[in-house]
Amino acid sequence: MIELRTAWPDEYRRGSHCFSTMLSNIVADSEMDLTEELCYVLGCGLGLMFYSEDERYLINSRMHDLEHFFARHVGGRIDYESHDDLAGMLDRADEWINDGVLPFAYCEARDLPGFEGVLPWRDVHPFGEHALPIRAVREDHIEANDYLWRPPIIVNHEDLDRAASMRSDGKVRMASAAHKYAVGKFVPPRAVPNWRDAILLAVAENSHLLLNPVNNTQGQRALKSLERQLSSMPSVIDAEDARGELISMATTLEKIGTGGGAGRHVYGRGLKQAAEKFEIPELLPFAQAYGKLGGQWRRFSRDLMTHAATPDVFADWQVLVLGARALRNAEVETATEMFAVVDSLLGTSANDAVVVGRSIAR
Amino acid sequence: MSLSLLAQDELVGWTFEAHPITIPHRMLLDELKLEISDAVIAVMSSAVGYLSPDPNDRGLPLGGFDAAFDFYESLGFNGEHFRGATPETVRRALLRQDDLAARRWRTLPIFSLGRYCGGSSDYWLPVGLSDFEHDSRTVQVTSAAGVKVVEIREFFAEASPTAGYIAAVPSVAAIMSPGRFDTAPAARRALRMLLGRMLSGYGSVDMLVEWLAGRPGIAELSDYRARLRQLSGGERGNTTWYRDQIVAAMEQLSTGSEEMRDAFVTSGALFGAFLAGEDSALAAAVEVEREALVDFHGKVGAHR
Repeated sequence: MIELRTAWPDEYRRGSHCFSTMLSNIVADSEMDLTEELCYVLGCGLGLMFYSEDERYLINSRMHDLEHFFARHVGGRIDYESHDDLAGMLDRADEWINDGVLPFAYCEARDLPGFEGVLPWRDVHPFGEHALPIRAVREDHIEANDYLWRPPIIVNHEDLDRAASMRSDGKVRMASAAHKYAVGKFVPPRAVPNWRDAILLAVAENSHLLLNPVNNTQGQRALKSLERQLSSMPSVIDAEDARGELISMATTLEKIGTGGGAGRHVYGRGLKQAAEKFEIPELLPFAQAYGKLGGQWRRFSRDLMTHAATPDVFADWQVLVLGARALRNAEVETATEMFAVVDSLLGTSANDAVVVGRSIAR
Repeated sequence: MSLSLLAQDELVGWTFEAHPITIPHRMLLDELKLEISDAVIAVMSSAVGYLSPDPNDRGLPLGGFDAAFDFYESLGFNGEHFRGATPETVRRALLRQDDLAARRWRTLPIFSLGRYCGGSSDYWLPVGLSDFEHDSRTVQVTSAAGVKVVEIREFFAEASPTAGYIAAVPSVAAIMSPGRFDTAPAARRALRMLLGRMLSGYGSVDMLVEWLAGRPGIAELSDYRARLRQLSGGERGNTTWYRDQIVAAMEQLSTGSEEMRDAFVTSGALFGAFLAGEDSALAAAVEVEREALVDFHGKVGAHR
């Protein structure tokens, strides 16, 4: 079994996104040491979720379950359990710490006081599922880490209770149960995986899921939905509500755990590192493409903010609709080309099969 | 023992032929009118790994919860999961998930792991949970071992410490056009991933290499054989530790090298010999597979 560190680093690696930063810290200095960006790629971070309900517009720029996708692609697994209360969660975290395992709590970042004045959580709709590494459990507080800070932070039990209780749970009607008072850990693979294969499979799966999403709330169909919903927004909600929704979307895409540019900069850097470290030069053009896409998303977020600050919020509205359309076109084109290249490298496409066309029906 | 899905006396007669992972997954696929072979289901679920020598292993050789996450996400579905420390926590989340499924489209079987007690070991089999009776608080549990209606809370109490579920959110494409839903490319990638995990994942072949290097005694090997036999389906069960399923998937998907196919045919026969009582066949099977996996990954380019 790969030996991971038995305590969180004293100097926590800072990063752009909570889960990928945390994963990078878990494997830091081990045989499978990875940067945050590579963890993001292996965790299939490239994504988009968009959903509107009750005149609220919820957006998130990454794939769901990043930590589980990461584990899947490196041959490890994530174990976690949800408890009835904070005491149960902390008992388990303490037990794991004593066993030399690195626990993390799932919680609502906006309820962690450390973020106050640092990130504008109050401007965005809550979405839960923030990863908070737990270093030590004390009588009235925990010592923790978080992705924006190198030194440990202190979170008192009262604040942690609020954050881990996932107060936003149930506010979105179509969302499944939140992981309340949940504590998780990463179980590593036995040996270092074949990185080239792991990266290629992760990129293939990620781009395929982006292009063929489960429904209209994800991937390229969510981008289509974003364009449509933006198009109808002026006739659906009033100007003041629209202002709030534009700020919420722009902030989520640009400020909250994305590294800016809807996570495309992080993903692009990850592809570049993978290309160089694991000798997959075919990924380099896509590293550049996602860097450009990050810039395009950043301009889109700025446009959202500009409109929100304009006296007539709906003036020149078409800029936003066309911006969303251009993003969708660029995302689809890039992911399509990347999938074709990676699938060809893997030899898993239909054309590469030894014999094409056999049915896999029983 | 009274709450066990199968108590010790019943387990003596336990026998099944299909891979246990196919039972809950096929419940879902049948609802969706999707046709995928048993072999491809097993491979897409990464459910043909190695049985841990640790008797407390919780069904991980059959994929554990990841067998559902892997299968659903490989198919392009979502797998919405929940794991709780207490039966009541999981029960509440499960009923909410069932309600949610009805509001989104319609209720579907939900994947979980059921604990079956027998001999000196417990076995966690993949199960499909269906027919929730919210008022009576019961659920129908379907697995390779059969069908039972049990109280939801008792089911999760018995499953502890591995209590939870994964619910599939099928893709619109699969719902709308099941006849045109092509799973072959994703299945090829899943097979490729499976081969990687068998070499380096947390339950990789080296787990057995290391155990066998420690020269386990006759009693340990006998216990291992008994557990392998139970999870293979008992007397009329699979005699290759499901290596025939890997081979069948390679053939159906037209992928994998000839050498790899030959290796799994050979190792399958050796697992069969071990199940029949030949102790030395286990080490031989492990050696054949390790060599083939190392060779395969050497050819596709390892950077270690």
